[in-house]
Amino acid sequence: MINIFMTLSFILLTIIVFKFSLFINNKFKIAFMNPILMTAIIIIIFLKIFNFSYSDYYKGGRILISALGPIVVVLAVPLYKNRHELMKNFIPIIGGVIASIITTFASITVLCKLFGVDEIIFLSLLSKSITTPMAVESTKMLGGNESITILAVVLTGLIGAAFAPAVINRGKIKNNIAKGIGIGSAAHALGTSKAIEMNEEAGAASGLAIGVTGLLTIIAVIIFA
Amino acid sequence: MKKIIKIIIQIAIIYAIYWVGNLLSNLISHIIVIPGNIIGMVILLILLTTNILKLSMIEETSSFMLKYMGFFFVPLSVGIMESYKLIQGSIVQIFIILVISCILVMYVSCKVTDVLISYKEKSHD
Repeated sequence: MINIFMTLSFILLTIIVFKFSLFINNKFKIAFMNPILMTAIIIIIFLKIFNFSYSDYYKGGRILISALGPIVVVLAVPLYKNRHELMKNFIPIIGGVIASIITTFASITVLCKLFGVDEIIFLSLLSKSITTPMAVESTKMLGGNESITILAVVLTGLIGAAFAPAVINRGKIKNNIAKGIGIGSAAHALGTSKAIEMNEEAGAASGLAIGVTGLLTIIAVIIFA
Repeated sequence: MKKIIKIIIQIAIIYAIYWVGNLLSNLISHIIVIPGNIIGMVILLILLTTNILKLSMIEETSSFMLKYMGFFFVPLSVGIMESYKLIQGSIVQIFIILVISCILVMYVSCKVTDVLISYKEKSHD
């Protein structure tokens, strides 16, 4: 009984804090802040203050996380609505995704050498741009640590959502499909939630990029690993 | 009441597709790993383009889910409070690496796609 009460309370808490964060983020434009990150920070502080562990929170959180599967399925809707525009740009889209995969592998290799991090961490970061289940498989093939990969995937998503507006403005990216492909291929579904906020076309391209980037990364790893 | 039934049916359709996606994902998992949700996305896209499923049959629920998509990532993000311990020793370096890499990847990918699209459009004119 107490368990059910706690589960429901944590879900309710997440809803209330998220609503509050949406309100604050709409009212004041805080650079690099977004409702997801803000909600997470507030909840972490709350849990620390009242001495709850993550596994307490996870009882409710698990239920919300389980909705992520069907949400990715539903990304087919913007994809369907924009299918003609996307099909017309098939080659630019594949080009953008391949560029993203090469940049990921190259930048992680160079940066890990530069900062001198352990080999196991380097191998676990290579798959950080793709959606979690695919990233875990890719890391297994590369011989990295799955838990580090999951952490890197979530952090990358948050970083991608936070920096997406700045990258697009500074980079003077005009085309909505280009915006979506960049966001989705760099920051998977979490980034896509930001692309959907921008406009439907960018959201559609971003959703498409999750699948294509994941698939091509896995294939690249199978060939080269 | 009619509206509630409609929403329940929509949720059931979406979950059924997700379930089939997972089933197929398991079937092919020894050949290549493609998550069930990605396969589900492809199935839904096929059903919509072939007109087997009308957009109106899932529209309300799907637009609600997409509107609040970010919300469902909150628990995973809260999980960082636990999982950061794995990389405690090099957390600052890793964070810097991820920020630089993510910005670089996003910029290059946006730019390449953008340039290729405008090149294509020019050559068509």
